[in-house]
This record gives sequence, structure tokens and C-alpha cells, in this order.
Amino acid sequence: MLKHHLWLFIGLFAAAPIIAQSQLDAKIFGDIKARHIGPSIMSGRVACLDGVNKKQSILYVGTAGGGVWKTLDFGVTYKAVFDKHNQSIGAISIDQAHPDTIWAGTGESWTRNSVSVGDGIYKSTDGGDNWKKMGLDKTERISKIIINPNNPNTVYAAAPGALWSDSEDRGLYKTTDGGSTWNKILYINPQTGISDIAIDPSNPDIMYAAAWEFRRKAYAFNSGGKNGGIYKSTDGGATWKKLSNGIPAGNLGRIGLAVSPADANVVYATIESKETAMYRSNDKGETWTKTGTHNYIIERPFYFTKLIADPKDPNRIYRAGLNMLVSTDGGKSFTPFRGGAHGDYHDVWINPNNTDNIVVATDGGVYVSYDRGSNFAQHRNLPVGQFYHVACDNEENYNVYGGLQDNGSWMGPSRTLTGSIENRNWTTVGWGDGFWVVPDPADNNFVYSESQGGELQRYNKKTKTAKSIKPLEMAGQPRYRYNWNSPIGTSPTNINKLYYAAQYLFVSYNKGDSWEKISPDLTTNDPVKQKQEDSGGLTSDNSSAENHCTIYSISESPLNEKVIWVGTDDGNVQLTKDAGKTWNNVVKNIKDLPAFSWVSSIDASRYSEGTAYVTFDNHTQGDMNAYVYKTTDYGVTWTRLGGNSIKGYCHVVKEDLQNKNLLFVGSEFGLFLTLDGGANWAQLDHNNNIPNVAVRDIAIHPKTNDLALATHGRGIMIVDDITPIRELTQEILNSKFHAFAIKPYFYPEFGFDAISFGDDEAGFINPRSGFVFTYYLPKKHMGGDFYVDVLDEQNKKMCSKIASKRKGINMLEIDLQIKAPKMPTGPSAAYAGYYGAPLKAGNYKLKVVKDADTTYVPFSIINNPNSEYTAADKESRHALMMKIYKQCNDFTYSINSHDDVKAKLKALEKEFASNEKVKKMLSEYASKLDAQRNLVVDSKEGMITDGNKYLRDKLSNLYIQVVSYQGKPSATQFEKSEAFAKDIKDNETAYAAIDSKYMTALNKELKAAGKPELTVMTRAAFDELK
Amino acid sequence: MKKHLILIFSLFLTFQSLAGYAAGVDEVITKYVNALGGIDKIKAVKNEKMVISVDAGGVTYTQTMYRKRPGSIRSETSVQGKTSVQVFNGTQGWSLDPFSGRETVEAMTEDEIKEVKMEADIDGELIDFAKKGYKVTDEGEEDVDGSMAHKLKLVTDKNDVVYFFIDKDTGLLVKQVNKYKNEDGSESEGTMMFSNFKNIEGRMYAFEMEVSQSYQGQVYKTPVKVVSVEVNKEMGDDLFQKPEVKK
Repeated sequence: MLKHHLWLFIGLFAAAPIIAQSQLDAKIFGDIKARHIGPSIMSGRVACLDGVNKKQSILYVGTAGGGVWKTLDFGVTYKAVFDKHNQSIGAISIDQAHPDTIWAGTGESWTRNSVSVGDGIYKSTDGGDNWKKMGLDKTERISKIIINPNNPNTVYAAAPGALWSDSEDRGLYKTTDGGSTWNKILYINPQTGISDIAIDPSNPDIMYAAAWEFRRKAYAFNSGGKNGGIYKSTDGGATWKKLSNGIPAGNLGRIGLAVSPADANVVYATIESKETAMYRSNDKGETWTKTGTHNYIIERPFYFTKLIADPKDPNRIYRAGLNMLVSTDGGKSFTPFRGGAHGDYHDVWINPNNTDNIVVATDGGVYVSYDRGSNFAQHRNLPVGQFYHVACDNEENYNVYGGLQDNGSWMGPSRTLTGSIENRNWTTVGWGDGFWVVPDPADNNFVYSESQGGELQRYNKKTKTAKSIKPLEMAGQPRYRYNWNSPIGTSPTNINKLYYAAQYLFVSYNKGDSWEKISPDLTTNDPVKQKQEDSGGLTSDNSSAENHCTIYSISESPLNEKVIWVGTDDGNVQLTKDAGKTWNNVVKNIKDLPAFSWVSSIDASRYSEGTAYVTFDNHTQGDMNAYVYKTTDYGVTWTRLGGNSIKGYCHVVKEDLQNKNLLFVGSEFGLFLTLDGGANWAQLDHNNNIPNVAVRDIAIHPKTNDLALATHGRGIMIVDDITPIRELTQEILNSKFHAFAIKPYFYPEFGFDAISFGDDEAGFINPRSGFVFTYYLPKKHMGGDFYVDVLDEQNKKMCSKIASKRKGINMLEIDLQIKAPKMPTGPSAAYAGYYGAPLKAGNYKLKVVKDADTTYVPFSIINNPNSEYTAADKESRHALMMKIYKQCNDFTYSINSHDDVKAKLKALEKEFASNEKVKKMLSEYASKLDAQRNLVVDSKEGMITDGNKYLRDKLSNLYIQVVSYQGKPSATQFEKSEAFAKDIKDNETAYAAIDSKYMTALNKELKAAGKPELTVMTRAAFDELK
Repeated sequence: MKKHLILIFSLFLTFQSLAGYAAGVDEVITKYVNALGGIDKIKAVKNEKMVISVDAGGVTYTQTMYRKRPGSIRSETSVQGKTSVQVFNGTQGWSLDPFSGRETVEAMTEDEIKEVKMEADIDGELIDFAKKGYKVTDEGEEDVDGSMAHKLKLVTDKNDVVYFFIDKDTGLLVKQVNKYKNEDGSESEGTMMFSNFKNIEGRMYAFEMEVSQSYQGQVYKTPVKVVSVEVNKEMGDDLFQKPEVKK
């Protein structure tokens, strides 16, 4: 709602932080919270979903990297319900007999190159509010969960298992006690997992399971093997037989299964083989017939295998794919959906009560159709985009840039001048899968972005055109090998320099129109790892996702442009000190690092030329450990940082721009930081509004000190102004209370938007715009007063706020305003009575009272340096605002004091019930007061009033007008206020005349009767009233 | 605003130990009751009057709340010289809303009755929870503002859920989350944080609260300060009758 306040804290500490040698307590970061800014316009990959059959408004959505989301209202709104747990979801299953019980299997099973890893199976018994892990920790990925409809304590979980290594934890698991214990009831071998299961709805002991042999390496993928096939059990999984009658011979790949709920004899299977096709059995799997060979069925079986049988029609079957295929003739022919949804379908939920109503899961989020896929509406409120990278420009209200899995490249504002950051604020700047998106430091009209395999382009914001600027090999040169996610690098020393890389490092000084190759092949150039044409296994799949022996990371030293670090996907760390003339592979000096570990990021230090930080990601060799290293001598020696304190394989390390001991690391499971150069680490987790989501990239904004995170599943997050983190020292951590210095504050100048959206339009919050007082508490304050007063230079209290009391960093927002003027009662609200008057520019201090201790913290309010209004404008506005403020109070005093008189008259009526003379006086007096009041205050019932008729409304409106605009008020507004002075005076005069006429005479009667005389409330008494 | 203000009543909680429940639940609630001052002090309360001020930025609201056994509650909130009133007499409830252009008295909806009934419970939901048809389970521990707290889950006979967070060190209630299932199928949620505990006649009261409400992804926090607490003063039943519109 409000513009970012640009909080900056003065007093950067000279002393280097010294933190005790123990695990860093994450609670010290207290109120440091990430702000999720979406976007949700393109959403992100959804792996699975399930709806409540008896109440179709409730749907659970399992996302590839953003956890579980729940809607209670058909998708109008969603809520993330899995933030404390692993964010990669492979399966969701609702116990339809007890729909508050939901199972979630972690580890997506659509095994693309960027897929995450899970950590077991979870169960909620309260509609997703709370989840408990129920085991299967090592399965890595779970593709389907089936709950026995007759006994919900019996649950089956299919685990394809580890993608990057052998594993004995894959297979089919069964629990009969609600998840307390599990038995692996079907296991083939360490290479072959169970990719799908289906259960006979008429007899849950009859089950079908698909075995899948698969393996991904950094440079190749294989689907299929001799152990693949379909297994059947008729005794609840105790015994199994491999089906063969009609099943193709030879190696089999991924198989999708479905039993028709309408006819349990009918079983469908899409079987990857040399001739991938749809198969159907009409006798519970005993015999099979190949029914369909639609071209689309052969598409990427590892990514699209899901089969969903219509609940009512045994001949209607859906098969997920690049497009969703539907067959209405029992699997013989297929038609793609005609509706306009994002491609890459992974799952479908069919409303059992209205099978025209389907909800689909795609790489672009969730879509709903009410006509079986002919037309779709997107749920544009699921911010689960999978960003690979993030960058920021230097504009005021800077923009963030990033590319996403299958959703192109985008830019959007870090804040808006209106209510919130919305879908409409985001702009595409590139297509395909997006990765690095970098604004041109020399000209912010240009943006560099890419799509997979090195398709680099330069986007022009003004014309919205894009020019391909990919470096191309010339005749006689080796083919350029570009990574799926090729690095675009800018130079910290030269804003006109641009880097890009294949197996060579390129540099351009003309915005990519030409490139100079400044390195030899910096990779291992291992031919064994360059056979991507053969990748895929049974089904060829060469999307560039497996491109290998390429450069993946680039970092130029901020201290010396000739010092450039390059990391490759096959494990080399190359360093040049002479701008590329000579290169040295220094990875050999890292003694304890597994060979060929992918160099996921390098960050050359801004404090020492020989210092650099490197993250290695070795998960493609089945190693999920964190490898973060530091060198201070140009790679001659290395120190490992973090170790087991950092969870999961790492994508990025970033050195802070101002505190050399502050480092950030993004891993597959979240954001980690150290305050002491790497000895001790803490995770900023869900308590800091950062789920255990993959943090793929980090950018620190040099002006705002914001930390922008590219998450692979929850969009972009921003931790606004990390200055308090930078300033944390052991001295502060040991203190009973520490107030961080406050930089001069200025009011944000924001606009408005008169558009009304529905609740389905996701809005993401802007930064705090108000004044924030930041302080540190070593522990939660449980008892005793703790509040903050704002004092002016004369020590007069302007306003007050109850202090927040949490352990660690507290960020207390205080409205810098005096309370709203008092307004007379009327049938409708006078809005001036709700708007305080902002304090004017000047020097102030906070009086912090904590138990018996009082601390004073000075601060100042300054005029917004970016404002279009001059200081004189603002002084003029403040003067008029306070003039009207006083006029409101003056007017209200005359009204309220006579309301008080009237109340007293009413009370006297009873006392003088038998005195006709006095009764008449009382009645006439009250009547005159009413008449006068009704001249200036509306007295008619109704909420809608003419704001220009009565003085009360006119005063209120003028006050609001002046409060709402920080510039110089209009001449008309000044004139109007002048005119009010007379109106107010006239009103006072009229009241005085009435008082004069009646009060003296009445008081004589009261005195005679021994009653206290009637008086008008004093102004002092009025001012005392709240 | 009304719902959140009236929810604040729920901080007066106590417990009578009951056999047959998980040891964790008993232990935690006993700890909590002791922290409040003990069951005798709590049971001795026949009625309460509390004055609070609500900081809503430009304006501060003053609210006076009355509760009386066995289950009556009244709250009065004054703004710009007008006073809204909510009253529940144990069976019926009414709201007087003077801010909508016409002063009217409306009967509370079923959802409102459900909520206000719980808020009128002078002992709080946990005491005699089984007799009230509630179920309580121990949900382990959770961090609340940097300190660990026992988490108890209470499920009402209407399937509404209240989470209580009892500070591990002090035994005091530091956070409460109410989740109501509304008649229209929607759900509403309110969170309250409690702090600045003071001993009033042998019993601990939270003198500061923070009421949080989420709307379209944003959390709005309202600080609430307790100005005064009176216990067992004269309090007539007429306070809890249907309010009248004053002309």
C-alpha cells in the first residue's frame, strides 16, 4: 500500500563481528522476514493435485518446488500449507472418507534435469494445517499414494526412488497402521523403482504396479530396461506376478496405469517401449491389447505418463503430455485438449459429480475447465514459479529480473506506488525456459536473457523487440557447447562489458553484437559426456537439458578486471589473472572435493583480489551434500565452509557488499547465512517467511541493501534492507537491549489505483513504508512495561506504541502522527476523525521504556529527497493541514460541548417534570440547540451524504484532501479554509446567542431549586477527552 | 474489528485437571493454571470488567468489556461519540451498530453466536473442556517469538479449532490461534499474542495484546492495551439484555 520507506540505518560498525564458536541461533534474526513478490501470472510447475469428492471447492495442489497449496473456494484463493517441510511434491492423496486427512509424498517424480529431491511421506489429519512426517525418508521421490477406500489406515506409496544413483529404498511401500510402520512390498533392484500404482475400486486387494528402470546423469538420461513392466497382486501386495500377455517384449520404460472407476475390469496402461503405445485390458490385467499409438503418446514418457480414467465412462481416458490427450473410445484414438492452457500437463482431477469439470496441473500452474478441456481459466494466484536466477536494476523502485522453468524471462517491480505488486505489473522479456536475465548496466532499456541451450537475446523495453546475439561458431571452429542454463555475466568494473560462455568464455563491449573469445575450452571436454543425441533411453530426448562440458559460472573480480573466475559443469575452476591470456585450473587444489562436482557459482571477493567463494553441486552424482569453499590466495589453498550446517546441495554463494564476514548461501533446501566469514551458519527459514525452497540465486541491491532471492518454486522473494543483519556483532548479541541507529526518515509518496479486483487476483506486498524502529532483544520480553514514545524537540509526546517483544531483531512500525482531529457525531462517519496528522520534518527522539530502563534514540524526519515537492511546498501543506485540524477541533468543541448541554437538559427534564415553566425553558433550549446543530451537521439517516452541504462534512473533506497530498495545497483549498473560519465563528456565535438567551434564565431557576448551575464544557476539558 | 476485539476475552483461561487425557495435555495446562495463579483464584472470579484501548493508527478506540458467569458477555466500543454494543446473554446475542447510517439492533448470526459463546466462557475453553464437548491434544512444541511454547489443540463440538501456545519457561499463554468454520463453508482465522503480564489480586493478566488478521496475503496487526481490570464488582444482569437504540 505504501511506498518503500528506504530504511537505512546509520552507524555501520567498524568492529568486525566476532561470533561465538557454536551453531548460529537463527532466532536472533527475529523480525527479518522475506517478502514474497510472486509473480503468479505465469505460475509454475504443478506436479499433482487432488480434490475432495464430497466438497469440490476444496483442492490440494502439489507443486514441483513450492510445496502444497490448498483452496477452499474452487481456486479463487489459495494458501500455502506446507512451508515447514520439503517443497518438492510428487503425490497428493486425500482420504475421501475423511477428507481432513491428506497424504503428501515428497520428491517430484517428473524427473527432468532440474527436479528436486524429497525426504519422505507426510500426513495431515486437520485439513493441511499441520503435517507429520510418516517415514520413507530415503525414498527421494514418491509418485503416487493410494489409500485403501475400505480401510484408510492401509496406504500404498509408490517410490520410483533416487534419480541420480542406485538405491535400495525404491519400491512399493504399504502401511496398515496409518503410517507408523511401512513394509516394502514390491522391490525389483537398486536401479528399478515403482513409478505408478492402481487399485481395483471393487476389490482393493487387487493392485497393479509399474516398475521403471531409470537413471539421470549430468550429461545423459536413460529410461527403460529389462526389469521394467507391470506387476499385479490380488492379495493386497503380499504376492505379485509380472504381467506379460499382450505386454510388449524387451526393455520397457515408464508406464502409467489407471483402472476405470466405472468398470474395474478395464485397466489402461501407457507403456514406453520401442513402440510406445496405449494398452488396454478388459480382464483386470490378465490380457492386454495395444489400442492407440497417437504421436503425442511417445512424448517424453519420463515427464508425462499420468493416466486418469473418467469416473463414469470406462471408455474415456486422459493421458497427460505436452498437450493433454483424451480418448473417448477406450484408448483407440486421442484428441488433444483444445483449451488454452499452458502445455506440459502432469495431472488431472475430475469432478466426480460433474465430469465436464476438470482441473489440470501444468508447467504453468493450475487451470480449470467446465467443458472437458475445450476452454480453460487459469488460477492466477499460485506464485510457484521456478526461477533460476535473479538480477536487479538501479531504478528507483528497482525492478527484478529472472528466468523460469518453462515460463520464459520476466521483469517486475520490487515495489509499486499503489496497493500491491500484482500480475499486471510483470512483463515478459524472453521466452522458452528462462535462466539468466540481466539488465544492461549501461542502458536500462536493454535486457539480456536467454532460453535453453544458449539462445541469448537482447530485449528492448521500449520497442518490445528482441535481437538474437548468441555467439556462433564459424567455419572450422568446434561446435559451441552451451549449457541448458548458460551464464550471462556483467563486469563490476566496466558497465559496458558483457560476458557469455559456451565451453569458451566470450566478452562483448557492444551489447552482444560481436564477441571476443578470451579462453580456450575451459572444460574437461570429455567426449563420453557429449553424447546427448543418444540421451533419453527408449525414447530419444535431447532438449539441451543434458548438454555438458560447458561453462556454468563466471565472476570477475571487483578489484581487478583482469582477474576472472570461471566454473564448469564438469568440475573445473579456472582462473585468469591476465584477462584471459592464460588460465589455470585450480580445482585440483581442493583436496577433499569429489571429482567432477558441478561448479554452481563463484563469487569473487570485493575485499581481497585473491579471495573467492565457490559452491559445488554434486547432486548429479547422487551426493546431496553442501560444498562451499573459500580461497584467499587465488585458488592455491581452499577452506571448506559450512559443512553439515548447510542443508542440501548448493546453488549460490554471495558475499555481502558491506560486511566481508557476512555470506549468504542458497541451497536446494533454503537460504543460509554466516556472520563470521563461514564458521557458523544459520538458516533463515519459515520463521523468516522463507520455506525450505530451493534458492537458486541471490542478488544484493547496492542502494536499498535488499536481498533478492530466486527461488525454484516460490517465485522471487526479497528480504528488505539487511542492514540490521550486517550490523549484528557479538557485543550486540550479548546486550540486554540494543537500539539500532535510525537513518533520517522520509514519508513515502505513493499513488492510488481505482481498480477493483476480485479476491482471485493475487497481490503481493510492497516493502514497509512506515517508520520502523529496529532493536535487538536477547530473549522474549515476557513481563513489565515496554513501550516507545515519540517526542519532539521540546520533549512533547507526539504518539506512542507498544513495543514488540520477540527474541532477536525487532522491527517496530510506528505511525509518526498525532491522533486524528475530533469530529462531531453524525449519521455517517466524518473521515477526518480517522486520519492522524503526520509529523512535520524535524528532529525527534524515541523514548524507549523497558521495565525500569529508559533509552532515548534520536532520529529525524526529512523531506523526501526524491520528491517532486519542495520543502516549502511541504511546510505549506503542513501549515494548512494543522490549520484545518484545529478548525475541526474548534468546530467539534462547539458542537460537542452543546451536545453535552443538551444531555444535561434532558436529565433536568425528569427533575423538573412538574415545573411547567422550567420544562418549557428546557424544551425550547434543547430545540434551539438541535436546530443549530442541524444547520451544520447532517441529521438524516443514511450512509450516503452530500459532502458539500454541512460544515462538518466540508471540514472533514478538506482535511482529508490536504492530508492525502504531500505537495502544496491548491489556492482553492487555502481559500476554502479561510472561509471555514467565518463559518465556524458564525456557528459559535449562534450557539453563544442561544446560551445567552436560555442559560442565564435557566440557571436562576436551578439556583432557586438548589441545583448546580448549568455550564458549557470548557475547552480544556474537551481537549482532555479522547 | 468486532470479532477480534471480543476474542480478546479469551485470555482468561484456566483448567481443572481431568483424568483420562494425555499426560502432556494435563501437565501443560496445570503448568498454565499455576502460572495464572492457581485454580482457586481463577474460579473465584464471578465477573470481570476490562477496559482496553485499541491503537488503530490515526485513532484510538476505547472498549469496555463485561463478562459474567455463567456465560454472559457485553462489549462497548466508542468512536466519534458513538458506541457500538455487542451483547450475549448466554443464549441470545445482539449487535447495536451505529456506524452504518442508522442505529439498529440486529440479532447475532449463528457464526457470531458460536464465537461469542466461547468468548463468554469466563474460564476459557480449556477448563472442563471435556464437559463442554471439546477435545484437547498435545501438539508438541513450537517457537513463539523466539521462545519455545507448548502447543495445545482444542477442537470444539462445532469442529472449530483453537491452538493455545503456553510458554515453556513461564507457563503463560503467549499466543492463541482461533480457526472457525463458518456456516457458508468458509473459514476465518484470528491470532492473538499476549504479553506484559501483571498480577491483579493474585492472578496474572496479559496487559498487552496484538491481534493479527490476514487479508489477501497481508497481515494486519492491531496493538491492544489493557487500561484496567476489575474483578467481582457489582454487575447487574441488565447489562446483558438486548440493547436499546437511544433516540
